[in-house]
Amino acid sequence: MLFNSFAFLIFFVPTFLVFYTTQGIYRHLTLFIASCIFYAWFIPKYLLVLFVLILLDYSAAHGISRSSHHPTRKKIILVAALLNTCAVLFIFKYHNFFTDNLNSLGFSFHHWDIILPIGLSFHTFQSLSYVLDVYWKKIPAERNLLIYANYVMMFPQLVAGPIERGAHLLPQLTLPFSYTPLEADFIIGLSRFFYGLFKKIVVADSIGLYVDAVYSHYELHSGATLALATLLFSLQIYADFSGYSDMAIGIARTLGLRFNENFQTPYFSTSITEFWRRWHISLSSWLKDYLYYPLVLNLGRISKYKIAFSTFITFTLIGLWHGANWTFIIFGMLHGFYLVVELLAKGIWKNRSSLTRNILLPFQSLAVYFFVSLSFIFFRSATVHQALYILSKIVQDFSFHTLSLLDTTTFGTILLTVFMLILSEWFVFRNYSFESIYALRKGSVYLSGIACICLLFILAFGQIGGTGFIYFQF
Amino acid sequence: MTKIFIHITFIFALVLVSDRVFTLLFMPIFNRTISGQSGGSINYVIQHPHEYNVLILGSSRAKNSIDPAALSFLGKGYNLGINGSKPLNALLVLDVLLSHHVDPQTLIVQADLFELGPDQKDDTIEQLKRMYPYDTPLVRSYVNTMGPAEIFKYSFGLYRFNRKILNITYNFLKRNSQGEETGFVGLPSSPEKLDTTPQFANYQYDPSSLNAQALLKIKELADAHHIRLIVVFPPTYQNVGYNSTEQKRLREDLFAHGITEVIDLSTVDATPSLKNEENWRDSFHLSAAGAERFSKILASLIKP
Repeated sequence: MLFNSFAFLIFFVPTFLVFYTTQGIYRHLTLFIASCIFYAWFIPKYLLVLFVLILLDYSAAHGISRSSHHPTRKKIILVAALLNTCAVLFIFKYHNFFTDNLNSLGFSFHHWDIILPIGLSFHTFQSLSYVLDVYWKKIPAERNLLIYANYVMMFPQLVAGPIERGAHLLPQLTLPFSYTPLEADFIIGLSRFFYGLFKKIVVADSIGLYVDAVYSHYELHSGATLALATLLFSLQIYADFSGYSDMAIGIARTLGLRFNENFQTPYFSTSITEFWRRWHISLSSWLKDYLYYPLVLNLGRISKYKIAFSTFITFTLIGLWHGANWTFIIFGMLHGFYLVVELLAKGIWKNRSSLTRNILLPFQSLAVYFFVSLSFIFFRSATVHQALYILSKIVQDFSFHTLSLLDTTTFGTILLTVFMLILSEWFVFRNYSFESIYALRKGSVYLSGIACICLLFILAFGQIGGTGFIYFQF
Repeated sequence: MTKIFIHITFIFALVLVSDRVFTLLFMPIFNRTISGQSGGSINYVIQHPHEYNVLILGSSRAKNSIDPAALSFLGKGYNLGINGSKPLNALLVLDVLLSHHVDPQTLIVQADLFELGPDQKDDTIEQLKRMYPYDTPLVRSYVNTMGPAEIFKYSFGLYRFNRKILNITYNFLKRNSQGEETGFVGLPSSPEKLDTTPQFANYQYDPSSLNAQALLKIKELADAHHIRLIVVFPPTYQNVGYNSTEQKRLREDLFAHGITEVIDLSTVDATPSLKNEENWRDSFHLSAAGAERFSKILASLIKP
């Protein structure tokens, strides 16, 4: 079920009412059933995959918890759990990628005709972090299977995150689950949901019309048009994914639950390092905690080059996490390369005056936007060949005279919506959170105003038709 | 819970009031917009209700192919072809025009076999949406069959402008009715080799489809207003998408329902002078030169 569909409205209103009026185990059941319906709306049979994952990791965490005095047994259970979860991910997401690549080298492995369960990468990572946290004794194993199931498959974050951690979410779900969602939570949550909806169906989907038209016939377009489409795609994917995160966080908030932030105006970053602290925060922090730090610590004495190596490996895996395609791997490697360059160049301009620093800041942000957009050529292209063709066309055939806006009036809508997005992000959300706006005098009126403006824009300019989210494919 | 309910009510009341106020303020701008395909060309004809004897309805294949100047023996004509329009949209346009007392003597409706296949809900809504700003009983009757989501969205004036508020404002400010004399827009011929891959997957005629039914309703409306109806099937380059069996079935069905003036030029063999590539912009659209040839052929086949 898509947040931006009419079906979701029909689904959410009764869910909220039942959730609001029940307590304890019944509230957990409500959440569980609602999450099952939400997920089954896509492909019902994949609920089984989800249940198997939940049962395996729930049992593994208990096994680990009970084996605290048997380190070997504890480790074996951990390894088995990690292998199980990774095997599910491998079967559905990476098997065909690896077999296709091996087959191109002369092997003849069978290509499986399977569809990737929606959001598999998200909920497997959430399960993995739980098992590892229990192993590292950061959190106790959850005894109640229903609570654990809700932790993994709670519908707002089930298909595209934010990837929550047990330490943050499980305490909120622990019995007695009997609080009454506050008016403040509801107002903040609802405004945030509508702001996310605005980002998705007004900004992202409007830009998508142009980007899709250009990228689907990339051979026919000039370098300038491809460059513009690429720059716009960076905004589209931001509006699409951060819009989804806003909606997820907003919905959870209306139910009185708090998710972690996933984006913090990333295009205002002044370095790629800062960009990754503000972009898809739940994934980058996951990989930092569960892959990067263990990698750095296990490589022996810490040095700049070992950090660079670990960074590059981590970002290559971030690329692979996105999808089983060389385009995503190159996307990740490019970011790894950017970060390594930043790391090695650190301190070169250390002695700049604060005036120079301030003057350079906007240009640094533009440079970040440019380099991130460059990497998105690989992200958006279907094949590496396509990405290289687009890159070469941009470099070799760039002339403003050949820039095509396709349809000027549609492009006018894109400009207006992008302007609205930048305006709101720069003046409002760069400085204020929804919570801090609510805390202002007449804060609830401001939030109602934000919700109202978003709804009016949605009605006037929204692609109201339930277009899917880009990150659902991961 | 009461506070939450009050909050939701407040937001939606604010949205509803803003929606109504904006629609009220914007509607006069829309009504005075007389250029562009977001209603402007329809408004132009509405503002000249007795000026045109011949109206041409259809898609871009009508707009770019039929020059009303070539049909001058029927009187003054206007080409109201709208990109992507199908017979359902043509029916709604005709309904709006007639309700504004536009009184043509001849109506030429361009149609294609590929428009008359089985219904697809999204496509039907796209056809309807173009006419949402006019909010006629006929539009409403179709919207009511499209499900609760569409009915809900239709209740908002802003939604009914179909994301075209900027287009309409631009056209209003431009105040330039493109091709206002005839509505016909000629295209340059293709600079590249034409692609002959069929663009549409389904070339089956479905007499129960909304578009096929709309053709019959156009006939009813035309008869009720004593308008002569001519249905035209234009050709495609190298017969892309042509299906002789289904085309014959379609023609026979139209005859059976009293649509007797059907000019079927759907196979390019019927118009040999159009076979040359220079007559085409792409496989489905004639160039200006091709359109002039096609319009003359059409004129020769229409009896005065």
